[in-house]
Amino acid sequence: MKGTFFINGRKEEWSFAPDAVLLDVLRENGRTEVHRGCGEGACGSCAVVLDGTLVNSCQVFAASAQEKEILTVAGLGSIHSPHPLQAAFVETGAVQCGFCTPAMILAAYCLLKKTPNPTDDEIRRALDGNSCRCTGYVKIIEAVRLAARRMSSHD
Amino acid sequence: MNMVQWYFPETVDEAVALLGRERTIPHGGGTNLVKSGIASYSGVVDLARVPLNYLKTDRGILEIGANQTFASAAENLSNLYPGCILASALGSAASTPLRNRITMGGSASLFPLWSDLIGPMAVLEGEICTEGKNAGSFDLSTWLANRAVQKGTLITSLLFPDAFDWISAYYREVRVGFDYPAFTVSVLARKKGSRIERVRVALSGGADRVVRLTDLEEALNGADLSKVSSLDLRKMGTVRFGRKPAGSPEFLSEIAAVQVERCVKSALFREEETR
Repeated sequence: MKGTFFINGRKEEWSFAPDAVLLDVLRENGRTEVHRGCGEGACGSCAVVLDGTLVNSCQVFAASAQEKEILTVAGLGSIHSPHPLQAAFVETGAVQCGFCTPAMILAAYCLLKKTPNPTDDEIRRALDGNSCRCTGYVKIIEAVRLAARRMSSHD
Repeated sequence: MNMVQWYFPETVDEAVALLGRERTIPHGGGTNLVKSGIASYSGVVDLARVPLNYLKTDRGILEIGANQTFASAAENLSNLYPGCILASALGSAASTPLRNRITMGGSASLFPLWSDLIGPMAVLEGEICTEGKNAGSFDLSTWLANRAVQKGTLITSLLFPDAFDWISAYYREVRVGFDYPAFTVSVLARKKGSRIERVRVALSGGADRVVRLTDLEEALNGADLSKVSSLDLRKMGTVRFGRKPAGSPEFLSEIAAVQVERCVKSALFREEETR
């Protein structure tokens, strides 16, 4: 089947199988910043923002995401113009292998959109679907705190 | 070649008509279907455009539309009725990205392991409202006893006729937050002074998917709080378990009984406003 998706603000027409999950369709079409982890919705590596909410793209049928806005980490910022969250992750050393990082940043992005000054509990809760197996979570939470401070001071 | 056809109805009537076709299933958030697969079906009816995403209360009756996600329902309920058992349960199920997809209707269809809905449904004596071939409203035990009732039928909402003004306690046995719970304990209580007016206790995850602990409820209903210490809550809270990754039947039975006792005491002896 064929469908239209709005990826990082850009309209895309893609073909996909009726039972394909969004993760596979994104990756097959070059969006490899969306990482394949467990494939069961447990690790969160494949998270994207679908119409404003964080979802595991491995648990979403592509057919059900047609005509919707999909944000991947590449739509947040670039190496030359990083989003404050991306900059904060680098500065605090919240990145080691980097596999979980795109999804972590998107989870944090969804949190800060809704709760600009989150408590540590709120940060932990917002990241409860994202696993990191390198750094532990201390630096990641620190990065979210730092980005929240910076983003609030720019408001 | 997979020939599954997707449909995107915009009304309940359209959805019901489509679900009347052979080998056609409804799609809410998809968390059940992604796991089970859709290749054996000829049609999938996506419900996203059907106007069933709502939560409303009318004279104490709570109705949650089938398309409302756990995340939305938990947030709406937390804002309206902080401490309500459904808000606690739905807000702690699975993880943030999954709660953003799991819908009330999808969860009521199968009550999968990762759903925390079944315990609160049992104590709140919720009903499952449907349209289509088997239109009507079903209590939980009738619904669970007859899966065939879902054929050609659309879950439209969940109805809770007596959802508020309870003191509640909810416990889920997990090792880390997003684990599937090995069991859950749901307790509701109403008190007047030192008198226990009403207690409802349910345990899910045992040999039966969910069970109301009626002996325990009967022993407590109408009793004075001072009587609680003389009751063997743990014995009355003991149910059978099968073997699970979380532990042996004996272990799970023992720790579930401990949690039943704790939750009941927490609800009965907590000084707070009812929700």
